[in-house]
Amino acid sequence: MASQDATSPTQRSFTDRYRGVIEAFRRSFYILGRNRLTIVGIGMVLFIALIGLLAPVIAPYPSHVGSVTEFGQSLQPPSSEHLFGTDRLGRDIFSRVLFGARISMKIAVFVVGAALSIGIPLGLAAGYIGGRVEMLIMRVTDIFVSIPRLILPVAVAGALGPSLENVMLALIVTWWPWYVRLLRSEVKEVKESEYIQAIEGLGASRLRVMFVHLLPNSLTSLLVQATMDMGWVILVAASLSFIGIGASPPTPEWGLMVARGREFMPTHWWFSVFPGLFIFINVMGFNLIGDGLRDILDPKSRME
Amino acid sequence: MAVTFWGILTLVFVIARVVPGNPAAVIAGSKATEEQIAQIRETYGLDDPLHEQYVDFIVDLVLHQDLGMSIATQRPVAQEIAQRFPATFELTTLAVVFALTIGIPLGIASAIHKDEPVDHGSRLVAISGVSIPQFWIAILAQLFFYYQLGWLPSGGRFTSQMTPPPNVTGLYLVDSLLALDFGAFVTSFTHLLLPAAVLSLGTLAQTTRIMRSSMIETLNTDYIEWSRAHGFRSRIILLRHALRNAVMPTITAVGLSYGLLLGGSVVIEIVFNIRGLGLFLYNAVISTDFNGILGVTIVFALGYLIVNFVVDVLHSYINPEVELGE
Repeated sequence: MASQDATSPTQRSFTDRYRGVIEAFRRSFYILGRNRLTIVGIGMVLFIALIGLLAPVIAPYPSHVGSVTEFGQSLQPPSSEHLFGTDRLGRDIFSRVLFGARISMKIAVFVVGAALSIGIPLGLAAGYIGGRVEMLIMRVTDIFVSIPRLILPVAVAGALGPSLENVMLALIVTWWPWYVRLLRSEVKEVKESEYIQAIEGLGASRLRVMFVHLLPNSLTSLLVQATMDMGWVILVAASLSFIGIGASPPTPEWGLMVARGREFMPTHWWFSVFPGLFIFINVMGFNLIGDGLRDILDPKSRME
Repeated sequence: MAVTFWGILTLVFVIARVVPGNPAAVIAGSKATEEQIAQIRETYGLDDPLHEQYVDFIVDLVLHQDLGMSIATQRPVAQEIAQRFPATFELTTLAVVFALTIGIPLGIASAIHKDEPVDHGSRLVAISGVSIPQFWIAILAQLFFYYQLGWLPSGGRFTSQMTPPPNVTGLYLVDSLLALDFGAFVTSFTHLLLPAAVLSLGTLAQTTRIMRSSMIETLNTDYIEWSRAHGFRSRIILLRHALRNAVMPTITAVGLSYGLLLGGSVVIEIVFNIRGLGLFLYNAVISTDFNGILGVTIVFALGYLIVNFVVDVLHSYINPEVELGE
């Protein structure tokens, strides 16, 4: 990390100061270029984001997102007209899968974003202030963390009643403590370092130290964790919808579609197979990116 | 641990009694009349002040192991849980066994052949394992091994053509062995094979990953170099020295991923129709059976807590650093 340099940064010129950053970028791109799996991951996520954005344009039957019924077309196998076949109500599964991408991405970004905005201040406070504040925050965090990550949202969403909004709420409730933990341990590591002491000596306020100096230091690990969590959140949200406490029909949510299709196994396999495949692609993409990011950002693997 | 457990109970109480706003109305359903709702408030003591309900809840649970009545089945939740616990325990345990027996060798192979095709392959398997929706792969596995090939049963714990082994532990695998009924053992194993294999995927992936990285780290240490320099055969170095140190982080990771297994057991039990805790939780959620939801959540959290406590104890017991470190 460049910031471990004890000399005052103001004495050096701009390019000098950012030489480390520029160099790091170069190396990152080099490692990225070698790591094909990461590129595949980026491709997967971009693909899902793109089909979500363009869904109204590229979907052959945009109206099939709602509760349209075309009984003549019920449960048709995949064909050139219906790439992924049709469901029980005769709706085009391909169109519905495209629109499902929007829901999936929305959940991922919103839940992880909200969990981060709760977890970051608490994690910083716990790590930096310490003492009673830390004990209180960590006690509460431990409780949330000790309930399995699929069970807590089931309980919360179950109590709130089935809806996509409640699932998101339940996922935020489940996820924030993990960022508190991560950030606290990171902050504790650098808290006693010389450069933080120097900043404190210069009279920086606690808030400034926390958000301007400690937070940027942990951004890399937060980024890796948040990327992987996007995948996780999509997976759990889809599972909740599959169980029946998430999205309700006619929402084109992938997990819900798999659940519906299960009733028509094994003869109408396409009903479940295609929506599930897209969950897999989306989650896999985020995990590959996260894995690659960790390689790029981890100084150990950088040296090799 | 006790404090955390108390915290869990409190959290669960808040989820069940405070979050829904009007639990009685939810229990009664949307078509209920005012009288019916009042009746439910009466039966479940929802008219009492919140702090009294809280104390009752804790006292009943801790002193009497009473989790209340299941609204869905009209039987005590504790009884339902006791009856269904073995199925879930058997399923998750077998999944852990699968994850360890495949994940550890795969991780070692990956570490030895770092950056070779084997390593890339196992890394891809590991990332796929945590990315794949379990409910989906379970359906695909059913489609393939049952409908297509007809090799394995589609679900359930046992076949209806045979009588299950006499109930001793509730675990069919153990009970059938105790009764020396080999046929029953095979039958229950074939029923468990697919669900446990699918359930193990996530844990298998994590085991492989952690095993790989801790093995790589261990192989780079001085004492391994030393052993190499002294001409020990590489197999001995690997199995006697490196593995011993590298396996501990893996066990810790499996302990932590036990939560994943418990969560996954819900969808697996739904797909394979295994009457365990996960399926009970599902039914409880579907019928807004709050006591059922609470009971299973508490049991799962407790199970998770105990597993990780055991891992901690194990860790301090065979801490490899103390013995071999400096």
